[in-house]
Amino acid sequence: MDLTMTGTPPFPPGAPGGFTWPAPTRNLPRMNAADASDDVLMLAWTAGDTSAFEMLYARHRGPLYRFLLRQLRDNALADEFFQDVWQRVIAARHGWKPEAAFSTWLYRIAHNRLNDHWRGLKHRPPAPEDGDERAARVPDPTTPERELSEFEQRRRLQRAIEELPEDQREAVLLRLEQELSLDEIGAITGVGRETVKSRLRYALDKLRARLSE
Amino acid sequence: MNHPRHDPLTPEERALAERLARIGPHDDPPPSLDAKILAAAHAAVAPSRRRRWLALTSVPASLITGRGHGRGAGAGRRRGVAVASSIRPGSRTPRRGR
Repeated sequence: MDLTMTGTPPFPPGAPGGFTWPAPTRNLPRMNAADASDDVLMLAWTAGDTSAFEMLYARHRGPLYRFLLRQLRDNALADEFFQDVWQRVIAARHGWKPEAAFSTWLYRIAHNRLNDHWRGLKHRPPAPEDGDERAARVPDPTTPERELSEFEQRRRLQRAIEELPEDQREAVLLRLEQELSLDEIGAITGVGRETVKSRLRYALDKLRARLSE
Repeated sequence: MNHPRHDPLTPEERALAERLARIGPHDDPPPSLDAKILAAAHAAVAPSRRRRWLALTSVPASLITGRGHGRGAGAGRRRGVAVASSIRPGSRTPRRGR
């Protein structure tokens, strides 16, 4: 059996974060690494193939980290939660069934971890003091007039997202950033499709209103 | 994502998603965190030290035991008979060839 895997990593070597693309897996049959589904990689890892986990991790680390960071707005906390979520994935690996998409399972674990945190705090921390500064750091090569306008738009959008209630913010981030379906968001957050639809509608109405001010 | 997409983003959602992507954050987890998680994942599926130790020691042990049995098979059988007789004095001594 040829164990060589080919294909392009999801990001180039030396990408931000310095993550090194894993070596070819040992146990998977000939296939394109980039095309291996999460399910195949998860099954290979639980069977002992550690490079399959590396691929799975490489695929989800960035989006999950940014999802947590946007919710928590604190790098140290995001680091802690990110590690917790992956540790739970590792500990519960035998409980995962291929019927559930890996990403749905992963974000459900993240959702539960965040819920525990919000319940502990009882309220979210206020918007960070450096919100405007962070928005201003985003590079955007445009004319000064347009730059000002776009800066204002970015600032408004960021504020609007931060002001949303937790359940609406989570739904809208899963939808806009992860491009998940309503059913997937429902499976992650533990509510029905209609509730997700309603949360998204309220959230989008608020964003629309904020952006048109 | 592996599973087929349902509910594709509406044009309004797509526009918002693009704006959101430009705001960031664009951060990735720090390399030290990557290293910790990958090490934990490796350790979780790697054979444990105890299991490795057992695997290493069980083969020679079984070889030694097997050899011992082969050499002293007759003596062992005789010792077994003696022990059985001492425990149950009234019991019949098993006959060879039964």
